[in-house]
Amino acid sequence: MRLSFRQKLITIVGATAFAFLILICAEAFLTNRMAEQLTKIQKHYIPILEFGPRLESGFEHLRRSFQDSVAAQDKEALEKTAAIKDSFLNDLAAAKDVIDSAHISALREGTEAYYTAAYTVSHRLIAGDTGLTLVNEMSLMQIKQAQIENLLKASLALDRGNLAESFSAIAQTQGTSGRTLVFASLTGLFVVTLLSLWLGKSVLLSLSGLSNGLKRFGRGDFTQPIQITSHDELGDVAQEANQMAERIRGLLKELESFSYSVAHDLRAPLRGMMGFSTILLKDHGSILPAEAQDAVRRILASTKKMGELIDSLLNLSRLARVEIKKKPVNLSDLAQDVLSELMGTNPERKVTMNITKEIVVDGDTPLLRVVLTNLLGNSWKFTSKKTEAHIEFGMKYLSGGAVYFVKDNGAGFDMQYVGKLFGTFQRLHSTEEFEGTGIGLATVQSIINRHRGEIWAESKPEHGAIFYFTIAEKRELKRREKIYGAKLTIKQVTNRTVILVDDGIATGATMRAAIKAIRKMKPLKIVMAVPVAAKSVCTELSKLVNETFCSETPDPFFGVGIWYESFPQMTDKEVQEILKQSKNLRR
Amino acid sequence: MVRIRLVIVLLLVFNPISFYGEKLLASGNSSFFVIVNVQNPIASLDRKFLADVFFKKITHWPEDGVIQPIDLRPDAPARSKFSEEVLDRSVMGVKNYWQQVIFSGRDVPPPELKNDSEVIHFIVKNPSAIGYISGASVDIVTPENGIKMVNIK
Repeated sequence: MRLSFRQKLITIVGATAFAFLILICAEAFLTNRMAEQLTKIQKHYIPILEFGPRLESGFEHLRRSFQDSVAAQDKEALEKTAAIKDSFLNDLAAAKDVIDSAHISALREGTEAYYTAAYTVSHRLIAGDTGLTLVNEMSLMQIKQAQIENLLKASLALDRGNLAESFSAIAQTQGTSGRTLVFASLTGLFVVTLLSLWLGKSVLLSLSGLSNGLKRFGRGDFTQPIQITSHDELGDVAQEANQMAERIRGLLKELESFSYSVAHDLRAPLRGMMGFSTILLKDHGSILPAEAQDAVRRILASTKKMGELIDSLLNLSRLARVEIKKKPVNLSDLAQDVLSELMGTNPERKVTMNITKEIVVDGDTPLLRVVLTNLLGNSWKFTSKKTEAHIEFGMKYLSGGAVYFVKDNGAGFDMQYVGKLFGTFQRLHSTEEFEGTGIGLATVQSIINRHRGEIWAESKPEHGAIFYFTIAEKRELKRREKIYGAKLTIKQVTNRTVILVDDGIATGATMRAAIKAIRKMKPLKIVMAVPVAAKSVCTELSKLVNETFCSETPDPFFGVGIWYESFPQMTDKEVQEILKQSKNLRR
Repeated sequence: MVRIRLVIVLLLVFNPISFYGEKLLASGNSSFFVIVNVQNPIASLDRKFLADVFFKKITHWPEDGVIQPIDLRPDAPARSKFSEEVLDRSVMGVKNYWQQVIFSGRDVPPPELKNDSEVIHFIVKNPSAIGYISGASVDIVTPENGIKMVNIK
């Protein structure tokens, strides 16, 4: 669905509000139904509960008053029964809202008839006027009494069926209400959760795509635009970022062609200047006064200087265009070469050099030579005023992986200006102090960036400087995976002893990864066996495995290669061959 | 029961005359005879049965037919004798009992007739009736008159 976050958010809020509205309506409806039932009970049953006992006891009183007057042989008491009867009839009249009128009039007539009969019976009993007819009068009285009692019962009977129905209706409504509440709440919660997940998922998906794309742009890789998967606000952002990247790419191209053409076009007049000044000096130097000769020499030197500047500028722009051809590069050997060359230029200088052996990375040899030439050249240059110069090339493992560094004890720089360090023509020292074009580090950064690496520096004035750089190796790993035939499938490791063997362990990164991968397959135990390893690394890795064999742990270690008489780099073909053999073995 | 037996013993000792070869319960105005219609097959009755009949707790003859008990008026001497000896209550007690029953509508008492002859008259007319008369009217109790005496055990 093509919805913006705003619309999605509104949808969720709307759905929530709608769910609540339905819930509230349902609750209101059910509560109203309960109230209706309760009103019915209040209107109909409560008065009966009130009038019922009153009328029943009223009639009972009348009946008892006859019985009592007869028992007491009291004619006066007998006459007073009329008032009791009237009081009963009044109560009866008051109950007109509770008892229907037909019943009331029947009760009224019945009461009068009963009264007459009971009066006669009582009168005759008191007078002793017994005899056969009295029995008939009694029977008549009893019939009337029964009639009234039945009528009262019928009129005042709590309609138990109806009452039960009312209460069960209330209970049912209450139950329905509770169930509705629970059901609606759960459904609402479910729907809102789903919608939120939907929104969250789309946000996260878009965000991760966007973030990856922006990271790529940050590395200077503008070759691919960010994939626009969503049509929401983040999609808009991605689109804008793409447009920006496109513009930057265009600008970069323009800049490259501009600097190339500038450098190229500048060289032509410069060659003229150089040629003619040389002719002037060589052919006509003798006739020029000494002062003029010196001026021409200065012109020549400046022209040369400018040529160098243009050359490095040209180099920089060329670097941006040259395609990188990656293969394993022995940085240690390269560094040794570069330093030897530098030693040749100033053999009288006393410099201590320390190069870690066997540092191999995947990269473009000529370009990486440029990097080391510049970095080591800088070190050489900035240590020139030290009597005891130290230059070091080595590697470290930081959290992200391998980091290479060039360290010296030279002039250093103020960290305040570190931002200017890698800018074109930016110099932190004057030409008088240390010569240079101010383009070297810009070139280095450009090359490192093209290797998907990073470069940064640390320094303190007069305390030397360290330049760190990284080289991305992912691509190489992928390439190897492709060439060596998919991923190696390791089976039947569970509950078996696995022996991990390598020619040696330097940093332990490979062995650590291998242990981690095998551990996931739940082997019985893991044994690590290497002929040579750095002591500290061996100790550390032994904590991850069940058994460790590190035959030699020389200190200092330097690198695996130096402990072998022959340590050649394996070709892809050799690797493929060995893998093939191992597959056959496994079968 | 003890009192009835005593009376019977006394009667046997002092008045050996008997009608139909049966024992007299009592003699004189203060005594009574229980009588039924001559067609009634009953010859003798249990006292408890008779009391229940007069309290209308029993309403049917063992054979068949509704029992119609007939009382004498409260001032008749035979009534008090009958009340005490058969119903085991005073006339007043019986009256109280019936007042409650009458006004609560449960039942009506046996009709109270003025004298022996009215009782006899009623029984002659109603074969299912049972009543009592004073000992003085003993001569009238003959099958020819349509009534007979019932022996009380």
